[in-house]
Amino acid sequence: MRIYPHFNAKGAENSYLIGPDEGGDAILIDPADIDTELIGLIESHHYNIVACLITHGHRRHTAGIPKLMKIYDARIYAASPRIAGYDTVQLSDGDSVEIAGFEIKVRSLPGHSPDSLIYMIGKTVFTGDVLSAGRIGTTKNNAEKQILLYNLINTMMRMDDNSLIYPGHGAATKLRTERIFNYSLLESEVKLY
Amino acid sequence: MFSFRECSVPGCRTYVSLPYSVCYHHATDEQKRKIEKALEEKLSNDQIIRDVTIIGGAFRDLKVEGKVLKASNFAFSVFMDCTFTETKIINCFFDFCIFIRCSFISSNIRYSVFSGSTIRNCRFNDDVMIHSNFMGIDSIDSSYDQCDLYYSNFSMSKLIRTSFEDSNLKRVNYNACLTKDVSFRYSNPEEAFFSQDQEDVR
Repeated sequence: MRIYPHFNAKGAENSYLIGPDEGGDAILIDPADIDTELIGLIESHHYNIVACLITHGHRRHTAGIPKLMKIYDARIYAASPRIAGYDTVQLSDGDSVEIAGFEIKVRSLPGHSPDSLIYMIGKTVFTGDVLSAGRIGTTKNNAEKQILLYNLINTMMRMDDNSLIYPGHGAATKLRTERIFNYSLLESEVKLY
Repeated sequence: MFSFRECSVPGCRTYVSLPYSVCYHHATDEQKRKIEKALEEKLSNDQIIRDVTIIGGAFRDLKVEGKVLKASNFAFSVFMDCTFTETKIINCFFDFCIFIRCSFISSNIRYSVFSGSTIRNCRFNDDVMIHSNFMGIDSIDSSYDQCDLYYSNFSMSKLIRTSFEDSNLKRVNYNACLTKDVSFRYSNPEEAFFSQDQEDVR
């Protein structure tokens, strides 16, 4: 498996290109913007995007979908039935799908947005805006924050310490690091172990 | 990406060092020598070194010049007197490592993780270190001068006698850091975050 992070400088979002070692069918997570750099990354590795996984429906993480669909014949996977005007393959908590030879496990973690999903490929977790290095996702009010914390504790905090976390914004991290140094989680005084 | 296979020793969840079925810590001395030799050969023969896992290794006087290091995992390792010059380090994990008297000169470090590490007497000078994770580091007598640190994260770190001079600090996160004798001379700390509230607003 190869993971290529791509940073969209306009809105500071991360997209992730995931494919096999030697080209072929590949997956794009959260196409914030399909710029020439990302297309170059896809084409130089001889990838064909067959699936586009959406962690949540916020426009800044999905704005690249129309351009992506003009170039590649990809299926969109998300919690919502329609994203950016395109029908999706709807996913929900506990689903497991096989795409491009990768087994992808899906967990639902509402809080930051009602349709937030995280995707797990092996020990790699693509968290969108649910959990980033040093912080949890922003929420509109305290009730949503408590929902997000509850979901984080009951899903992510049960995962292995060595799990790699690739968020929708900012640097990559590991779950061990977040347990020890995530300011938002520590401030919330939740039980992390 | 490095292998996510776990060590075959019961109770150990550390990732294996290929081609063996055990992690570096549980490898025999002979296996450790072979793993280290394989890395040395890659460093001397290959331009791109990728998918290496050595967790809990110890490196002294390692010289890496003009190489590309990708998708590798060196967590919990010790690096002493090592030099990384004009090296690209992309999507690599150096979390909870110890770096002593190491230098990263004119290197390009992206999407990499150094969180929880102790960095002592190290020089990160003239580097591009964007989108990297330095959360919870102990940085003592070290410098990050003439660097582009855009969107890197130093939150919850201890920064002692550390300089960030003439560096780009846009969107750098210093939330909840303990600082003593830290210099931001000729840099732009006004564009960095020193609290979570500032980060939320921007």
